[in-house]
Formats: sequence, structure tokens, C-alpha cells
Amino acid sequence: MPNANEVKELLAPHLIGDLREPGARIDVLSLDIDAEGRRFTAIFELLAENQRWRVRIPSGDKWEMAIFDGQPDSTLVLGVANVLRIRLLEWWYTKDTERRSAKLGTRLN
Amino acid sequence: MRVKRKISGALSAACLMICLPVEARAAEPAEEVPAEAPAAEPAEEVSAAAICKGKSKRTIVRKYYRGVRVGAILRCGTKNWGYRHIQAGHGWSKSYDNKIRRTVASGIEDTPLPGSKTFERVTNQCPPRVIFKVVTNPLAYGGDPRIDPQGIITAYAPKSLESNVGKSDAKCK
Repeated sequence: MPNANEVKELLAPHLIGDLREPGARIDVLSLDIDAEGRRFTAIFELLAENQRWRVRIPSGDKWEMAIFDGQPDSTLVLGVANVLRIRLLEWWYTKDTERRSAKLGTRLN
Repeated sequence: MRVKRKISGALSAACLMICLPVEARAAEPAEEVPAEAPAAEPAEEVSAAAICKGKSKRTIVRKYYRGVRVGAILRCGTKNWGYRHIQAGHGWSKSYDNKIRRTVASGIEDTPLPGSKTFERVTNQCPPRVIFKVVTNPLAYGGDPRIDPQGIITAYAPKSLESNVGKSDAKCK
């Protein structure tokens, strides 16, 4: 059963670096996984438009926790990485207009 | 008697194909589409909230068209995707519904990654700016492969999102 650090290693290749988002250059500098019972939080540090941010994206639906079970297959890992990427981009584009998004990020510079 | 029974059986089979709705004929279990939900190009006759009240995440709320084909479907989903996510995070309204409809109908379609298809509505300026974005998963939902495709995950009006489209256009240089 992978621990938080091993899950981080599984997800990092899909999430670290340039997110290749057409509308913005978003570089994910680091990723940490904080597991708490039946939930986890992905903690990103990123650089975008000369702004450095720490963003906490909580896990969503229960199936995402399956990444902590046994040896998760590549489809599951890719699926979890994909939803985290989508939520991270949603945060970036709505952080200035939506309170719920704004709460997820802390500006570091 | 036997001939009569055969004819009767054939008629029953034919009736099964003709009389039943398309959903009931399919080998796959039918999608949970409420009977009162409009079939094609729906207006806001039935509110999305009413359709999703007490219904599973799989239930289809809307079908958004791109030409004659369905470009994206919106399911009730959970607080993390679909109608319930949009409703909780961005707020749902007739206007929001129309923005999704217009974006899917005529927005720029892109597949940035497998498992992610986006539609972007952009302004007619240089460089173009995205005024509305719809993010979908054209593949099965991770938590239940029977929910295939998962459909719309989220939709929002991005702040200051510059589109790549037209950047290389001579007019923008």
C-alpha cells in the first residue's frame, strides 16, 4: 500500500513542470501529498506570470483514494493526475473572482 | 397453431424494436434521463436542480450540441464535477446554461490530454481572450466505468485567459 510519499512519486511525472496550458505558462515546481484518513490533499508550489503560489487541492470523489491501494495501475494514476490538473487550472483562472477558489491558494511573493 | 405462434413471436420482436424507445433497446443499461427532460436542444423548461434532486451522479441533465452531434453532456455529478460542482462553485442559472451551450456549439475544441477535452469561447481580438471555458472528460468516469463518457467536469469564465488561437496570426504580430 503506497504511502503519501510514494503516491507523490507516482503523480509527480504527470504534474511537475509546465502544465502546457494554452492560455498561461504555469510551472509546477513541487508537489506534496498530505494524506488524512480517507482523504488527501495535493500541495503544489507553482510559478505563473511571475507569481509564486502554494495551492492546496483536496481530493475529490472517493475513487481517487484508490491510488493508495496496492499497486495502482497507470490508468488510475493518470486519471487522478488529470483531475488534479483540471482543479489546479480551475483554481488559477477563478482565484480572483470566486471565494471558494481564492481560499485554496497562498501567494508566496 | 405453431405458425401462428411464430408469426406472433416475430411480431413481438418487431414491436420490441419499433415500439420501445431507443434507450430501452440498447444492450447497455439505459442512462438515467428523467422522462420530463427535453430530448434535443433543450430550453430551460425543466430546471437542472429539479432533474438532479435525489438522483444519482449518472443522471443526464443536459445534452449540448455541436452541429448535429452531441458535443458534451452534463450529468448531475458530485460536488467535484458536473452540475453539482458548477452549481456549488460557480452558481447555476439560465445564463450559465446558455454560456455552456454556446461554448460547446461554437467554441474552439481542444484535447490537451487524454481524458480531457475543452471548449473555449474566445473574443474576436488580438490576441484573442477566452471568455468561457468548458472542461469535459470524453472517457469513462474513474469511479464508475459505466458512466461513460463522464461529460462536463466544470465550466467557468476564466480571468485573463489568453487563447493560443490567433497568436501566430499575422494580424496579431
